Amino acid sequence: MREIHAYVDSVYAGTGGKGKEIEELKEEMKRHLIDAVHELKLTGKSEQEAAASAIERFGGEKELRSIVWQLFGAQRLFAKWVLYGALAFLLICSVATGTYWTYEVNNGKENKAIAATIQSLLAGESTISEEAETEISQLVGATEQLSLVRIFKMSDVRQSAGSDGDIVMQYRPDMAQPAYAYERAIWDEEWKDFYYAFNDSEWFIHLKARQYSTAFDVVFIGGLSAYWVLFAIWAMVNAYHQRRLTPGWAAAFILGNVLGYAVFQLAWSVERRRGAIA
Amino acid sequence: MRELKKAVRMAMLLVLAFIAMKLFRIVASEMEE
Repeated sequence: MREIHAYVDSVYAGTGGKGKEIEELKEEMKRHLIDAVHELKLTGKSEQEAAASAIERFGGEKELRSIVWQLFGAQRLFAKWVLYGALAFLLICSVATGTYWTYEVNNGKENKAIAATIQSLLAGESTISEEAETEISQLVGATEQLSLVRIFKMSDVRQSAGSDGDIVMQYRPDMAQPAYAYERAIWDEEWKDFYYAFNDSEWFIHLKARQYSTAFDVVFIGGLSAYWVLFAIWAMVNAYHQRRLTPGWAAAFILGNVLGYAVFQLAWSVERRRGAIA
Repeated sequence: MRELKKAVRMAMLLVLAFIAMKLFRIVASEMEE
């Protein structure tokens, strides 16, 4: 009967023969063929002849394989590409997040370093010299993200506020005139303000740096949503193949994504174990 | 409070690692078939 097993396996080759549904179909096909072999043997044929006749009766291998592939292969291929698509979106999303995060962290570090350099330039000075002004404008101009620097006298921005007995110190650069300001035109549709007040310093620094957070949010949320939807579709197709798709599981895939699918697999293995015990 | 924050961050990392592992296994088994 080796020919029968080899024949059935070859018919289902390339269709992802691990699925429960396909295993059942293969078993059924084998049963039919083996019955036919037994019948043919009763007419006096040898086992090999009987197997060859049974296979011939069932249909040519190529023809049958193409029908089976059309039925299951196309579905499996679709599911596979849906999963690969989901993964591609997740990867794009992760790389974009990593890149943007690194960019922001590096910019933050650079801004702080520039503020510290300005601070050390002005340490002990009561006014900002022309030399210092040139150096500051060069420092800011050399960066990619800074469009504005304003330097205030600490005494101008520091104010006490609050009621009697509850006085707090606060910084109000919006209420003060800067001792020095340098602005340059860069694309900064979206920006963030950074304020630096160092200990024991006479100077208060305001830097304005551009950001890409909205563009990044669009990429991040869009990519993640695409991944989420595609993965849920893949999980539903898979559950459908296993004849276990219910509205409950569909909801679990949509809401829980990978975790929902993990629970689905766990439920399946528990079910199978129970079945084996019974 | 800091300890609690640390524990929550640790738990989130564990969940993320589990999800990544699960996804990796799903894709590996899909590629195998």
